[in-house]
Amino acid sequence: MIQAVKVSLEVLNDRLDPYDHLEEILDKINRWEPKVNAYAYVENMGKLKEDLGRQLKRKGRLSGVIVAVKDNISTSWMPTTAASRMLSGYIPPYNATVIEKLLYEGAVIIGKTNMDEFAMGSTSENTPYGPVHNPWCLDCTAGGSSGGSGAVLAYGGADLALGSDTGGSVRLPAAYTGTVALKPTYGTVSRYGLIPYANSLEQISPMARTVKDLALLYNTIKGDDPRDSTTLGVEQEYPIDRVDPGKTRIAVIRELMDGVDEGILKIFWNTISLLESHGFTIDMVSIKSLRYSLPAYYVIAMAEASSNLARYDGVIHGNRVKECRGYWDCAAKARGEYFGVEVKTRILMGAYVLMEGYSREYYVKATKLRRLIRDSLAKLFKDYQAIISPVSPILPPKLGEKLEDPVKMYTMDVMTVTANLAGIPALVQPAGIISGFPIGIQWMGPVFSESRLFGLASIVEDEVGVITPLQ
Amino acid sequence: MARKVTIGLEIHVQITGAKTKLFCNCPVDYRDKPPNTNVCPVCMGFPGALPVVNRKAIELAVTASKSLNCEIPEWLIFTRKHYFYPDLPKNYQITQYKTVAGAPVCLGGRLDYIDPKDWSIHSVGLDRINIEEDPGKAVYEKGGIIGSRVVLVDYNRSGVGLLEIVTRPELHDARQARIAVENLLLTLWYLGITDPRLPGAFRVDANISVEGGGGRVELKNIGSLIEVERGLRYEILRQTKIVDAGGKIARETRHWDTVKGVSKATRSKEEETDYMYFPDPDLPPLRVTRSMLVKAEAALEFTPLKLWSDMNRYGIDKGLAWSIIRELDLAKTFRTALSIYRNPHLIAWMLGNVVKGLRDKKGLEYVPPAVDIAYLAELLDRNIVHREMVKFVILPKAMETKESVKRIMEYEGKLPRGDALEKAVEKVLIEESKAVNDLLRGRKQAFNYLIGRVMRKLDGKGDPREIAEILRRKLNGLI
Ligand SMILES: [Zn+2]
Repeated sequence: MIQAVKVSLEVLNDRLDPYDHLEEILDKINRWEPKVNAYAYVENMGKLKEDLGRQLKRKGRLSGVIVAVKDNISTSWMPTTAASRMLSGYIPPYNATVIEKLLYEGAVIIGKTNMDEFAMGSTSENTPYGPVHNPWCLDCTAGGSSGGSGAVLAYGGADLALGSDTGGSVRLPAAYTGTVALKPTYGTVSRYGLIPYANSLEQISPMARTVKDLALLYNTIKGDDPRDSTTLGVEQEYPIDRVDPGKTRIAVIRELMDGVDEGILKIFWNTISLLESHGFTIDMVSIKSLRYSLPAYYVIAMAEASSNLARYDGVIHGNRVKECRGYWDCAAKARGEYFGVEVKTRILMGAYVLMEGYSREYYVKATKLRRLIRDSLAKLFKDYQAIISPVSPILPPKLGEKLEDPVKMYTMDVMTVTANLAGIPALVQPAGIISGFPIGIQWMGPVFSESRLFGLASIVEDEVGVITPLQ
Repeated sequence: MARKVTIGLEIHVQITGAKTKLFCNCPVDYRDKPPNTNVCPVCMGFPGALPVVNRKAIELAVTASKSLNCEIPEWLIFTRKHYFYPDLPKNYQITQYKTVAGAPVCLGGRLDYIDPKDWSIHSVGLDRINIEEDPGKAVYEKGGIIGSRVVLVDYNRSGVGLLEIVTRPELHDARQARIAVENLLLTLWYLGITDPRLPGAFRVDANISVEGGGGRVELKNIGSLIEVERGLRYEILRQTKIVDAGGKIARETRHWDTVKGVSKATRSKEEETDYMYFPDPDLPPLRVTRSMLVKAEAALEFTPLKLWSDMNRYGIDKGLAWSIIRELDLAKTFRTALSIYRNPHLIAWMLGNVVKGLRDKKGLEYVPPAVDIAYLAELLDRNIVHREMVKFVILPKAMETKESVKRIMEYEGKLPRGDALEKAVEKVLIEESKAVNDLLRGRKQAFNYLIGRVMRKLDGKGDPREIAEILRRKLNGLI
């Protein structure tokens, strides 16, 4: 399948018929969706052709490119439900900033991808649309919470996809579906229009099949936004760096290597050898504070979630129940009825860690740990230019398996949450295949080091090759 | 029996001077707009819409804090305060809070206020000032949230910036509390922070306890200065009666019913709400910059207390001074007029006695411009007009017709009309050719001599500045 970076040029030079390209993608959707269930909503053919015609005229760098968007990113003409029954039927009155940027560059938004409700989950099973199946293994999870976006890319149901990453939500799906994803430096991509789960941790994140496509999408959506006070006011491009192995020291963190599946380890060490053969220096180092990443992450994420989700009471936001009396009864019943179990669990835990008398023990302590983690990584990056690690300790679980044990599900995020706590960029790419499963590796670097991560990932990609879309 | 009363106030003041709401671009002027037309995704709390701080509102809050002698932190931190209520679109309010890593715009501080009874100056300590957003306005079918099947909410007000000013419990009677609030509002009005005349621009909650009563009562929903005194008087009397009869006061929240003039318990027991405070992750800490502080400092040049001490220094009668200070437009006119013509007594008399009197008696709101007031002061000084003329003819006409004082003087025959002036000047130029020649040769004194001649021709009625202007014009800029 053609790379997204080539689409607009090929269309311009009459070497690619954009309508054929659209139909090829729709064919794949028709073929795969009944099995995979990665889309929550697909725009109808007539509207898509109309959009394509209009977007081709823009002659932007994404003209003719078909993009799938996670269902928690606001689109003013398509439903945006964050996979929650609370928001079923909701069409936002405005576009997210990233959507405006995509449209400006000529992209066609094909539909909204399935996900864990309000991005809470690591398997894309907490969803009223039914679980996302992994195209590589149909009874396995595709990871989460942006599992739909990963799966769509894996089977060729879009050229590019947007996800959101709060604690690994694009990286776990990328690892499980053999695609690439970047959790950008916090504050480089506007969150305006992203239905919030945990504001201080999450970023809208690009997903693709190749590093070049990933860089293209990231460079399209990044940038300062006066509507988001947490964007950093940095205006720069992030091209793919040519990395000099002689000047690049890479760290392997001992704390991120615990309890990793043997197959995953095998691919990981193969990648290390490969990098060493390129001349990179790779050391094993220890950062003790990373042991606290997971609890610190969950305390902060749940505190923010419980606050963000307070607005859904059926008055302005969220659906209403028919039978209720008075404001509090109606609000309670709506929340009882329309939130899923995982969401309710996190709201309650979040309220708990913020309660007077507890917040010092939990929330405040977690923010202190977060600072500690951020500082120790900053220190590490004085000596090392990047960190390499596995993405998940385990292969994609079977559907249903992880739902039984929430704590097990939370530990799937152990390697990814650190980047969110520290606000640093993290890139995941496939590094090989073991017994039919793609295996991902993760790169992390200091803030604003996206170009370097693209460069490092390109070296691995040149050796391993691009493994999606699946035939 | 007289018992010691302790009162602390919580005054919410809308930052109407900020022009737009605290975190979005909707105007603060929501009054008279159809319900829910002054809103956007941000102030309606739509999922994914994000707050962006209104710099002007922050500058004004810093100015308020400076004027109230506060300690202002280097970094301001906004906090989410959670409670479920239909008028709160996000079910949390963005505010500021002392603990859990919060930092309000003002800690400590002191409000100095003038008591017009004896012109003494008092102080009440401040606990803090928070910057926060106003909720929407809920209208209940049955007057209250409990028991009403239907609630109508208008979010036009939602997101308007508020200053929540919390005093220490250092006030001891109802009148004093009212005067403190009046002085506070006056200061904020002078500083361009709020317009207290707008309906709903401020609300007061009061904590009241009576010696021997035990608990303190929070009295809510006081919307005007008169109600501050009325409500507090009622509540003090109510508590005193209970304590005198041997009863105890339960800690509770009561609602001030303006119409019936009574306070009513809202809940039988005060519920301890847990607001789950934590810093708003959508709003990074905001630095109080040097330029904000410099701007604030500059604004403090014009405050009621400053004007009060100036007027005292000029020896202006205190009652007269206060009647000017209480009304911002009179105070501003006083300041400007004084900068044009330096006779504070005449200017104060015109504004505080004549203009204020006409405003109170006849409801005339218009204030003649400062240049006209200064001009009249000069004419009074030169005995071209006398006080009775100003008080009973010129100023009433000026306020009724909004005509310039000069035009009114012309109509009243107190000033020659424009053509008469011109003619007098022409005549003098012909008669006084020697003086004209002297002038052209550079003898500056000749100019004043010519003006004097024209004045004499007009029986002293002319305006010397205007005559000078005509002279210059006639001499074609030769001088
Ligand atoms: Zn607004």
